Amino acid sequence: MRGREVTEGTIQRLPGGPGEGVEVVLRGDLATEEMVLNIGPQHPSTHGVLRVVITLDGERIVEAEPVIGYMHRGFEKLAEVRDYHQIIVLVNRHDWLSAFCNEIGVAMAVERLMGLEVPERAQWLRVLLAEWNRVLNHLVFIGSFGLELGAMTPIFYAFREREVIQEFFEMATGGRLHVHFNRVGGLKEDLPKGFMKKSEQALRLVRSRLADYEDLLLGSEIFQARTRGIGVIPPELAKEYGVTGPILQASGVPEDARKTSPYLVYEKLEFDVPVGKTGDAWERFWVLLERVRQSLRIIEQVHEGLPSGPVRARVPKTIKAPEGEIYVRTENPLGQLGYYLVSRGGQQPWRLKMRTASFSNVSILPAILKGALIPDLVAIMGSIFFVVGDVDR
Amino acid sequence: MGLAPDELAARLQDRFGEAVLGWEENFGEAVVRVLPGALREVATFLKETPDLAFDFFDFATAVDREEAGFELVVEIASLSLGHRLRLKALLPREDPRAPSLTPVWAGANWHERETAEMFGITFEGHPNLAKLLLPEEFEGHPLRKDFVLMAREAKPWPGAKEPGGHE
Amino acid sequence: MGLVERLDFPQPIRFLLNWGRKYSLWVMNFGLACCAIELIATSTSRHDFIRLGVIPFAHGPRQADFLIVAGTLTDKMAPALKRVYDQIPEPKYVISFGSCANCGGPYWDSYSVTKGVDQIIPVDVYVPGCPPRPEALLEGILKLQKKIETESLAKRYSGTRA
Repeated sequence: MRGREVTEGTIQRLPGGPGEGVEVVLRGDLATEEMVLNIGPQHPSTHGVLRVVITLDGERIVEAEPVIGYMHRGFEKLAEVRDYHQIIVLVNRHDWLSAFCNEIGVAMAVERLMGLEVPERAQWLRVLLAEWNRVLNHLVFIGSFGLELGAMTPIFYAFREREVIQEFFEMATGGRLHVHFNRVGGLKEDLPKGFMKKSEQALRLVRSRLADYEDLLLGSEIFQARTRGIGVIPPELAKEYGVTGPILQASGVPEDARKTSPYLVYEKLEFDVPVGKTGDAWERFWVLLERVRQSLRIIEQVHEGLPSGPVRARVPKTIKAPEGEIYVRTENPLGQLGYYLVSRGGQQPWRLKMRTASFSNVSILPAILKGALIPDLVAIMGSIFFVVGDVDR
Repeated sequence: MGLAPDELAARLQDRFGEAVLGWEENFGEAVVRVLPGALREVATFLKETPDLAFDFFDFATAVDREEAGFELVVEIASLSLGHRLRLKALLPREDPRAPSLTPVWAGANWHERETAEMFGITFEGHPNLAKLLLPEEFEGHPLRKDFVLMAREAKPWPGAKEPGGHE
Repeated sequence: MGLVERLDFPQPIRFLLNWGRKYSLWVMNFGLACCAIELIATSTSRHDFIRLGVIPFAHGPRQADFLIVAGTLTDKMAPALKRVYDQIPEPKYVISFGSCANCGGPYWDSYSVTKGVDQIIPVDVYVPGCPPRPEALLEGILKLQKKIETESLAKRYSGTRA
């Protein structure tokens, strides 16, 4: 290439990413024209039915528009014709990887409106199971992110650990995935005999195996090459889009509802919020692993400090939330989950808005995919850690 | 910690006077009712003023208040200062319109698209108010109270008892 | 049409043919919702459906022998399912996995959910549960294999399914 003296063809400056500012001369056969590529809704790399329509210039993404709604099941309308017990069944299912954590918010919203005091033991147990649920959730993403970048092994490891945890989840609740264990006023029942022993065993097991994931992925040269400096999200942009959870923390914002608006007994427990520096895909994954470590720390403290007593407050048979409104937010594995409940005093909510983590997290995709290269698309989308049901509800 | 609910409300009342219709505290959070037309200015003020610094867009939705119209609800927060606020604006049932907040917080984009298709509210100044979750050919606005669920009309609740009558 | 589709083979040959088919099933994963996680769990180490001759996961519908629809099908998604099904070469089978895929499940009264995938494509085996356990899927696969075992392809294509 002879510098600037170009008479035919077009000069183009690469917009962003690794080759930022490099001038490229396009002429003859090398001149590219924009092309529209449709990925999904059924595509192996989108884990779930997310569709992305991207406009490409060569290998560079000019524009990316996620098309969502393929998993829209009308939760908010259905909640208006269900009573509070039945709503707990439904909230299990929007973010299907964090069933237990989903329940807590809706139970807490009704309890606070009713002015119910939840027994101490029930609160501790909610923390215990919620943190195990967080580990379960993160394990899936630890496995699937590796898989998306071409590493087959982590997913088998992750699901091996998941089976161990699901075993005692099932022991307590009867469900492997959807637990339906929270009730307004506490929990369905106390833990079965032998649960704590299994929980302690699992704690040791998962903790000892976290190093494997670090070796397999974080330290891997290929993994680093695919994720370092890829899909950087600046903190201001993340906040403007309402991004929360591991994605926001990786961008350097220490927001965690367990810390900033403590609920249950999180105030009494010691844990740190991992914070990244650059906000790239690698750090998002690192934050995810670190969150697992912190959850295990919380679980250990619950094992030691679990008080005895009842697990459910006395509540009337038919639950009616008093007239009023409330917004309850909890830290779900994937970010902030909020329930905005408006009640007119009936057995059913007048309006139940669900503010989900994945919806806001995915909405930032067009902004960060612009200018990225197509091979990085999967790395970026995989590192946003979303559940499609949580996006579409 | 950031500003208390009454301080936040006072700041808005000082700045916007009559456009702020009132406020109340809801479980430690300020809920401020404003005129729909003033929403954009209020939002810009909240975001741009350094000691308010509302940098986090939480969600936007609406509530069907039947005869009274639709109540637009916008929840925002300042993560850097640690306070949050809920803005409300009542829109008429006939041709509900509100200014879009997408130019202020980019994250409002999808929330407004969803509210638009679910309630039939038009957001003026929104870059692309196409359907978000529902298929293109879908008719009606599901979250309006007058939208009936056909499956429930065709056959009653299959459970043995009425909702709430179990356990 | 080839010989296999046209001729009604005598029992021993048919047995061999079907025996080969039933233990070499490339599966097309149409994971939609919660059930997809249990489908993945079935494919990983503990439950491991490869031991039943089910090979996960075909790279595209054109390489697949059967389709597992796992999860809630919405009206917006339905055309995509039909398209994937149409691309699978004959003979093809469908397992409907989970209550949502069977009949709409807990979303029976939703405005956006298709009440059962059998409204869009024919289904061979229904696996109930919300979500069904991995063992239930294994049972469903055994049921499908039993069906393949006794099937006559000639009858399948002449319109009178055995």
